[in-house]
Amino acid sequence: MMNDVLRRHAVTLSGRTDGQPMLFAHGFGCDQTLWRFVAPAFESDYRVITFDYIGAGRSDRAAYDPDRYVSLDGYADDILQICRALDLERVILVAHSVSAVIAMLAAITEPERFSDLILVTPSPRYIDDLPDYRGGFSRADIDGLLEMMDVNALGWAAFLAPIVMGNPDRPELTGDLETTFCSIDPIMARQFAQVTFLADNRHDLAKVSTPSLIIACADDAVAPTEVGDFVHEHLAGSTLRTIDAIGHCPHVSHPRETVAAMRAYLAGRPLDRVAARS
Amino acid sequence: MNPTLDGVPGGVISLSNDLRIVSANRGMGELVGRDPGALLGQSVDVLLSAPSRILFQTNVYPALGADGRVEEVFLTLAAADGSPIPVLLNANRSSGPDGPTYHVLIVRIRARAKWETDLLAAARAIEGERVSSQRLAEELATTANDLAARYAAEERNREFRDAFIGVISHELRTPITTIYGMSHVLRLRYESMAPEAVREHLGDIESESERLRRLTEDLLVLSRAEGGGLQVATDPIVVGHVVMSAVDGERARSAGHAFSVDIEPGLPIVLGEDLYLEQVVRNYLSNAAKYSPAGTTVRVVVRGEAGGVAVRVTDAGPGLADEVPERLFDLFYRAPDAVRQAAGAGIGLFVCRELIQAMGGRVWAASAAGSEGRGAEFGLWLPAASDTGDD
Repeated sequence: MMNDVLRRHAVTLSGRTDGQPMLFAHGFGCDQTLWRFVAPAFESDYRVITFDYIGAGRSDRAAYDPDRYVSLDGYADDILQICRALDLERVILVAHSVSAVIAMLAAITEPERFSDLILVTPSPRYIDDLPDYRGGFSRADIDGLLEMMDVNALGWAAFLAPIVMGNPDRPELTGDLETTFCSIDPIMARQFAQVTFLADNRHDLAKVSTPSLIIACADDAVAPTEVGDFVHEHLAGSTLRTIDAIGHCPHVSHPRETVAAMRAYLAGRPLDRVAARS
Repeated sequence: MNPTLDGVPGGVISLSNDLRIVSANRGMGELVGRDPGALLGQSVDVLLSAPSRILFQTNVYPALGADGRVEEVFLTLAAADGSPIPVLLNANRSSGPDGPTYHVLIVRIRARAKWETDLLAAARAIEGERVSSQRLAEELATTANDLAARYAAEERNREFRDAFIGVISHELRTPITTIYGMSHVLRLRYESMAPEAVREHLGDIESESERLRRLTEDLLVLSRAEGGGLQVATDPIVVGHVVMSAVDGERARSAGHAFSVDIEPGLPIVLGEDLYLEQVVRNYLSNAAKYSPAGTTVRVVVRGEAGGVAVRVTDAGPGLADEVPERLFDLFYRAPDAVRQAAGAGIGLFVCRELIQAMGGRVWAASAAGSEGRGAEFGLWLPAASDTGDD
């Protein structure tokens, strides 16, 4: 059962075995490999865990169940399952983009399991709700995105077919995938996009009791600064750090600054080791 | 920008690590209807439509960061007037002293975009057809199942009706024939007949009439049970009184048999309808008389048992042979031996079971080794009014 969960999500462990767990959740559009510029910086002090959502990276794509992922709750449950399988406590959950909402949902369900949330370019709602809220996009924009993904999937599916189908007899292919491809199944990606970009989780912000760090980018086309401000304002006990960067993926474009922001935040938090060392 | 690149029919740009436009050829400017020089230093987002900004930032850029290249990505640029321009995009990453640079090649697609859109529409139409065919197939399967179930129910009804008509026409005709025949004889020959013979004929008419009356009672219960509307009152009943009344009636009818009654004193009251209980006991008694030799004794024992009252009627007949006792209570069922031995409709015991169950009790049949042969025992049990649980 435990191994099932770890295998299904291609869970990768590194860092100190006695360290406080730091769990990295990737966002929409890629897989756990995207954390490779940031996660290693914490291996000397923390137990570092990365994983793929079902349909992304080296996850078990056969385990993808469209009914489970009709809302972000299915993804939040994935995170909790991984925590249970590894028996993780006092987890620092680092989550990018839509995973930030997923992380909040997980922390609302089992608040005692998480010590901190580090939310990288979060947005609780992508569609404008004027005049009070600017998410940055209209419903037509999101429909356009889904349409664009469908067109890409036409060629994408054929292009990725040998990889998507999986080849258990040739594990070396899977190894290739890890190093050469930021990989995501188009069907999973389509549903992930639909669930994510049409969701409205603004009301969930007030339910989060876990202390948090929000990392925003100064010029982010996907999560504009006013969205970061909105999250900060409605998330009790949150700290906002804005990195002077263009884009939505500071952990890729500005890993040094991202690591520094995380370290600065964590320095103000008690460094927590598990019982063996404390 | 390199003059050679200015001659390329398509957009060529390079981006800094933070996605600012470092260089743009003339083709890029032409694509979006802007001066390429004015693009320098701006974020790549200014070239992209709103949905493409999401796709670029969430899919293309991470893939470039992780893999170093993307190929054949479909997205739309934003023209100066805001209208979307469909393009294909290839990009790769090169490393330099100031960090990575991204090289991007953008080609406008017109015909291809149209047939891709058509292809997508066709694929969706096929998927829609598939889904609606599947739904139709499911609906058809459901309808077929409904029809099959309805047909099976009709078939059961028809079988029931046929059996019912067969049994009833026979069971009604026999006593009516007797009553008619005897009355006829009496009317024609009354004056010349010996008083003994007259009395015998009148006795036959009386007992056949009684048989008709009982059959009618059973049929009434049967029709209510089949219609699901068997209603039984919940009056307090003293079982001993009802049993005595039934035995007295049966003694008068079956002069060839002795009846012994053993009723435990101080039995609890049960709830039900005394006429129905009497009908059941009478059925048991007349069955016992019917299937046991003349001169033998039918025994009736009434006892307090398991939080209620049990009535057992035991005869000195051949017993149940190899019968499955429960089947005796099925509608129209008649044991092979019983068919040989006496007339019957196969309704009486079914009615007994229905009535007793409607009063919250149960019935049973068993072989009972008695002193006058093997014998059969027919029993019923009803819960006590005050305490329906176990003793």
